[in-house]
Amino acid sequence: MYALLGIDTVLRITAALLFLFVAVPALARRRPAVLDRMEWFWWCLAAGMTLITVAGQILTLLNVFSAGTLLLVAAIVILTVRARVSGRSVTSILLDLYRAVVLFSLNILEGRVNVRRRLRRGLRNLRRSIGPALSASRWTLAGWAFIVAAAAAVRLYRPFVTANLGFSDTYVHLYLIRLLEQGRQVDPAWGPYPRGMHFLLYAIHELTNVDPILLMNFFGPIAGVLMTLAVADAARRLAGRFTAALVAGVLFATMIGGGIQYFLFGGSIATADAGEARTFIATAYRDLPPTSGEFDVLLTVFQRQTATLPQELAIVLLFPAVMFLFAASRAHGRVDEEHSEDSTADARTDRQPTTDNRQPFWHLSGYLFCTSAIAATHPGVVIPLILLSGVTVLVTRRHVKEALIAGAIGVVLGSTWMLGYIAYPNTGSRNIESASGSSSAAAYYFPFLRTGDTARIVTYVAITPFLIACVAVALALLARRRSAPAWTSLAVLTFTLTHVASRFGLPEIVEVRRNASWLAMAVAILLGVAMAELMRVRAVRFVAAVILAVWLTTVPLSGVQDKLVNYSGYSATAYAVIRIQRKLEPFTWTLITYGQEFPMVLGKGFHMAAVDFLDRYDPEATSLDIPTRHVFIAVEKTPHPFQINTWASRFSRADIEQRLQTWCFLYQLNHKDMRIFLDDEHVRVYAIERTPPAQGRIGP
Amino acid sequence: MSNPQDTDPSSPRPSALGPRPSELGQQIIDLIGIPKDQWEIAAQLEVMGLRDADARSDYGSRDLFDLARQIHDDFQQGRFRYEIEGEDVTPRVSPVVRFLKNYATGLTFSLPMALQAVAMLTWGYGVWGAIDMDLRIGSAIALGFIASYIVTGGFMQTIVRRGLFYVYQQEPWLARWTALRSWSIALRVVIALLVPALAINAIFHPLPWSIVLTAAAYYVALSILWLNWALIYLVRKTWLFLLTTAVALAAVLLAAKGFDASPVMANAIGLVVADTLSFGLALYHLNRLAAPRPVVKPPRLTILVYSTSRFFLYGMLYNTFLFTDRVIAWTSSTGREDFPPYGFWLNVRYELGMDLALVVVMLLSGVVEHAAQRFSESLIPAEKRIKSIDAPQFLDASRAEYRRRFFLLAGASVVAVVAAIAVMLALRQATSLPIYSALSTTTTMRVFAVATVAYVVFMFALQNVLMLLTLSRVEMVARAVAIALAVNIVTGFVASRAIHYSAAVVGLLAGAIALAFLTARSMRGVLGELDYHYYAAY
Repeated sequence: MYALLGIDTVLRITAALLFLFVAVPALARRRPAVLDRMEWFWWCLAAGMTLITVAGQILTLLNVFSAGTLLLVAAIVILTVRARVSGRSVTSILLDLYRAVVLFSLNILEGRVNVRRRLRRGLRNLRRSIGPALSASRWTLAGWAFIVAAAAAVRLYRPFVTANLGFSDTYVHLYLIRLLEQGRQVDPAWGPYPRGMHFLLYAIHELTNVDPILLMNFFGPIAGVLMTLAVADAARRLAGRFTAALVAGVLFATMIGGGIQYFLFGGSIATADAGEARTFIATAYRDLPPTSGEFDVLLTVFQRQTATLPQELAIVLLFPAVMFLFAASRAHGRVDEEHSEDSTADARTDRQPTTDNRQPFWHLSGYLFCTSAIAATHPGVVIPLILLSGVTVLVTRRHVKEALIAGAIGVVLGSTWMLGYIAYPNTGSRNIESASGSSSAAAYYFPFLRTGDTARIVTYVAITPFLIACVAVALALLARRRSAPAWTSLAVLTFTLTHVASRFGLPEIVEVRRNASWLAMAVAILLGVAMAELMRVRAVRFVAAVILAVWLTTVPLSGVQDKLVNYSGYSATAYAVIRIQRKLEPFTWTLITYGQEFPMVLGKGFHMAAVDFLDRYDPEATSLDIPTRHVFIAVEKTPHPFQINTWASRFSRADIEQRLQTWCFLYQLNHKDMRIFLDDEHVRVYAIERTPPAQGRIGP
Repeated sequence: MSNPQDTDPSSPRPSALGPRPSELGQQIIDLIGIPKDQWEIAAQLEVMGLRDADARSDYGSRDLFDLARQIHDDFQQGRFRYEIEGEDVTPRVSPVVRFLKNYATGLTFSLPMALQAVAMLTWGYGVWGAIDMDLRIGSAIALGFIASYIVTGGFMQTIVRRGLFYVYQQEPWLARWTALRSWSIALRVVIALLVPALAINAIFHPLPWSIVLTAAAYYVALSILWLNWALIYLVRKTWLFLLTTAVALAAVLLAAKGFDASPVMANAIGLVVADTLSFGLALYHLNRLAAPRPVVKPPRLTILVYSTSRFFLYGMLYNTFLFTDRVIAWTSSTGREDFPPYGFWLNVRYELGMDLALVVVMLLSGVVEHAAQRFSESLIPAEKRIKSIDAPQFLDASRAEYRRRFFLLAGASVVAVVAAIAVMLALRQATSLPIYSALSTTTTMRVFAVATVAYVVFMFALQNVLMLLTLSRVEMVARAVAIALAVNIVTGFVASRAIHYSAAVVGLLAGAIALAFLTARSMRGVLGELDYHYYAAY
């Protein structure tokens, strides 16, 4: 049943993404000739995310964000763009459409139009028009399909196995989406927050009515697949060969971490004690304590791709953004060179380089929208974007001003969420211990901003032979003095430097575990580009294929993924919520759990934390004074190691679960309305079901 | 040039045209009477299906206009018989009696509603709905009711307008054929629309199946009832609305009180009775109207569809306008006093405020009906009384009449508002009523106040709408209703989400103001050229 729900969710998310970023743009205009299909997709994704965020902010301000208003916005976009491209007014387009619909309807009524024949003809024409293109690029398509399949298979494993949302942060993001449903963009306790991902998720939910819990569980892995595509596409663009895409894509898709892949990035630990750090990162993988999941740098990178997190969604656009800038600079270069040749050749022709003049516009606007979407989704990713943009400008040495202006406009456009500070000027503190507050969040993401005791905590990372080899490959490519390999090399060298900086007493600009994400992407691109370069030499092809095959043997098919399952809680509790809300009428039930299911329940039922429940209700009382007909109590047979700090100071999770079990036992002794709703090896969910008269005695 | 009126109609002079053109000329004069000019004759020739080729081959003329000019010349020379139409015989009826008659006709539309309200308060049952129903079933019925009203709105207008067109054309068999054909198409569309509705619910699951299936059942039953009522309206037996409602109510009460049927079952029995009875009565009267059956070729389906499409559009938009605010209010959760569990959830307080304000509509519908009826009745005699060269006098008189009707409606509105407030205050004193607690809430009062004003404005707009429809200016009406609907939706949607769910009623007010403004502007334009519009209308 859960697997079917998962398939349904994946289909809904995919359908919504295709509608928003493929169908709407296709209805609005044809793909510009200067962009290839992948570039056009990234362009539409970035522009779409920016538009959804800006429109979402306005619509949510009025509390009118809904499927209807979204479709209206899409219709406005389509009509406006069509009007601009065709040079006609919106009214005339609408009138023509109306006329066409009326004529078509009348023709159908008259029997002049055979719908089936038309459909068949349409299919025939479609086959005729795209058939040759498909057959010509069938291997490329098969390659892309393989990359997508490989990335999806390993990333979707976790959500298909567990209903738990992975990182506890994802529960917070679910809560923030629930806030949007209430028309609130800012939680007064936390202050303003970039809402790009939330608006996108909210739009998907509104368009497909997908279950929000399942949406949160499955969206992250799909963003992970997009990340893989971004890596592959960047490699293809830089190397100019699909082989690079295939190598980089497969490599990144299968970078999972764990003992067998520990040689890639090794481990890391955040501590103020350098000695302890050295000992820890030198420990063999098998000797690490079982709770140290985040010690494995690559596993953490992969784990983040299996959960719904804004940083990972923002990273999707990181490499497409700089590829747009890279292409824009190169296009500018070509145009300038052409102009120069024309002038030296005494302007032999009057040919205007119209196509190329438009190329920088599309690429620069792509860069602008990617930047704005990143800033709107996770501003932390603007840091690597700036670094990569710097690398691009350094390599191409052109049009610094245009890049700066486009980037600045993009950042401003994507930072409209900061207007929230006008309404909430006093939120946030610099106390990193506090989970809330914008200043503390900034200090958390950017360690060099930390002050006080926390400033001494530094992240030590392992410097593995693999990393050293990558640096060597990067240097080798740099020596080739061509812009694309040089760009790849400098990107890897930059991120390697930020990765190991804190180890050498340099400022840790971005938290190392986050930096590892784009480092891993850059490394995959580097290896893809390097492999493509090697493949140019016929004799080396066999060696390259062997290396790739050997790599595939390191992919852990089992074991490692299990570490990610039930990371912040048990699947059964989350699945119970899904089942309850599908089965019962909203607001007729209350759920008692340890705590983090609160945002799952919002808007559907009521939730009470176990610690409060135990304080307030006596199992031996005549009636349980919770005024809903159904009450569910989730008890963990094996208390989960994840703890909520606020409560941990009073009771451990194990204590609470033990007391909850005792409470249920005593209640069963005194009442006959309790039964077991769901039971598995870790969790038992009890259900108390009152008759309407019994409920009437309690309350409304 | 001789004056045609001086000629002796009984002794036509020989025609300059050949025998066949002469025959044609006489045919034209028999059809149109004294022609105003050659262009009118040309228009009639085209109406008769003649082409330039026919004019050349059959009558030796250069084209249709040449032929028309020849016929006109012959007429001027007194070669055709003609008759001068006498004055219409207008029975002497006291204005008060006439008003009361028209008012009663107008009331027949709202009396079934009033009867239902009384039955609901007295016995707790209506034909659709019962006091004891829970909100889940209430929401389903509301959804089915609104959907049926919106979906059949276009078909009801089509049946009535096209049917009446043929009735006025002295083609009762065609009227019957068109009405029943439209009824049959409408029913198929009503049922066919269930397929995407159920599919959407299966895919997006916005509502539980129990609600959707109940709503679907009420939707079909009520759609049939509205379509039957359209047939009844066509045969001008509007009092049958009241009769069918009363009989159906009796069936509901018998089932509920006599046989302890559940409210839904009692409703089902009542609706089956109402559907069967209304269709039987409508068919009986249509058959009477159309007998004996002449041999007439009915129009092609596409022609029927295209020629009625504007009325269809108007009907659908109009009915949508009437219920938009409720849909918007019941899909908003902002400020709700309850926890609406699903996207669409009935709110008694809002509905009560709207229902109480409907008293205004009930009382004013007769006034509006009278105004429209008098406009229609007096237009032709007024036009005939005045010479064509005195058109400005005719226009001034029409404007004065329009102003008089405006002030009459304004005066009646004051009375209606007072009556509505009195009804509301009286109900608030009735502590035993099940709706007593809801009556005293701020939401109900706020909705009642705004809706009362909105309905008053709406009745002014409706008066204009009916007058414009009398002149067949349906495009103007459809455009005005479409814009008003957009204003209603946008204002209501934003207000109900940003402020309070009950602020959806502000959308109704804004929409009604927009409709009143647009239709008043159209009326002003039409009245300024009423002689043309009158001519073009028929």
